[in-house]
Amino acid sequence: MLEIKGLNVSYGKKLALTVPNLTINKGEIIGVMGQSGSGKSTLVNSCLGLVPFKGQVTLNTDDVGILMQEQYYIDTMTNQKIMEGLLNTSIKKDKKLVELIDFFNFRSQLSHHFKNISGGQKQRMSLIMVLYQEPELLFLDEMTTGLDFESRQALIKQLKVYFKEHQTTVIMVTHYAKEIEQLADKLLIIDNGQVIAFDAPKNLFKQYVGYSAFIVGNNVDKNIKVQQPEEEYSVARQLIDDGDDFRRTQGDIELVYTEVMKGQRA
Amino acid sequence: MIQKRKLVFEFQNLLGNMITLFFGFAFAPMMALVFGSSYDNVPQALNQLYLSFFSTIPLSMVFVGFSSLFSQEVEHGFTLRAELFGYSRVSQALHKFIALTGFVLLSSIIYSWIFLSHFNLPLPSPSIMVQMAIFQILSTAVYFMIIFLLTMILKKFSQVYGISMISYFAIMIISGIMGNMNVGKLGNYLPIKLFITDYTKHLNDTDYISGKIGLYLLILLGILGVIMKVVVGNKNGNKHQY
Repeated sequence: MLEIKGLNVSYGKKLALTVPNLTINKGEIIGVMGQSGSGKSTLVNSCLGLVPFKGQVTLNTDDVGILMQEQYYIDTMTNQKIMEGLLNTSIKKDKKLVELIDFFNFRSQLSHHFKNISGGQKQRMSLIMVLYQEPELLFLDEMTTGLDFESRQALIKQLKVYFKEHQTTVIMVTHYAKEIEQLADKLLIIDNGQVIAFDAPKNLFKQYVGYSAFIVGNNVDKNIKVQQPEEEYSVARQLIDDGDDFRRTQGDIELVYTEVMKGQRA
Repeated sequence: MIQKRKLVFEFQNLLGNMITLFFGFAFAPMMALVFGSSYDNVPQALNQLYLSFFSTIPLSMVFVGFSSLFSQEVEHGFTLRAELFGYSRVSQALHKFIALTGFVLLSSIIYSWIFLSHFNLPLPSPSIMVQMAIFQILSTAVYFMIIFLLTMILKKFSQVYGISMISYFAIMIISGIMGNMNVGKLGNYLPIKLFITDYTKHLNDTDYISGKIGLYLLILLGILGVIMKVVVGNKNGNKHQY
């Protein structure tokens, strides 16, 4: 669905992003993580041709959808009029649009103005318009930043169902490890403009953490890595004896991300 | 190419902009009535006044109203979102222009009705009315292209609106609608000639607008069209961004 070869993006003299090779297959959901300014959004923008770049980016479809972190629509008309105008349709006569509106529980917001709805509802409205086009390839750029926990969870839950049903290829840039845990098939980590890891979260966990890990006090920096199943019991016993709060994991994305950033393999 | 819903959207967009409504619809009749009350019994002066403010309608609608609306859309990324969605820049320009022209013609009719009925002046002949309508459409097209290009290049509301407002008042002063400035030989240059009110003295001469002024407008329109084609282009037809 998307193939990148020898991608180089520079802002002035500064090299912002280098991607030697990257292939994303149809139906895959890719979570992209990295620090602010690491090159995540540059990756999305270069795939969309919004920034000049050297190299080759091949999209095997023209049907591309993009959902950005921030939205802006006309403030002086209702959401219904905006949707109808931009989608060139009538909600009353469009079954597909009505289904999407109901899927995202947006019907009650149609008569409101865009500026008067919450951040979560704004994202839903944008998603409805993006998904209405049934894009084969969808870019989500920090779409849940600024949303409260409940809105974020509800949105992710709805998207999970939708993507599964429609086999959409998704590239999702986010700061939230939980979103990747819930949605992504593969994790792509960018640091300082370089892709430092790209694989299924489970594989990355095995490479950088091991068999499992115990996270102590809900702090991923404080963890005990376990390489063999039989070691787990003794580690757990020790933590219980010490009176520590802990949880065991075999796929915590935040831990994977932290260990990949450290660059030390298990 | 022209889509009904998008056209309705652009009409509603303009309707929601108070600056467009005030300067596009209220400014010309308001000012003309105020100035006209001093020349109540001088039909020739009233006629001149009527035509002068008639010609400011597209200027006010585009340079004051549309420039504020469109530059904010560009600055906030709405234009790009719509463009990547498939509502291309060329299509946006076309729908916005048609909506704007509709507003200019409607405002011209309302203005004419208010002014002519208030001062009991006769309606212009049908052939003059057609010429006046063509003049309004061509003027709107020229002003629209200038603001569209300016916004595409500068992208910031503050810069676009600053330049458009300075230009607006400069044109009003140069054309003699505001103050009594003699532009001298400057008035002979093609772009300046377009804005000065000489043509209003020639409205009885059916060849003047369709001939000389019409030609000026068409030449300018052609030049702007070529620049617009280069600057605006037409890309990203199938991407949907929100």
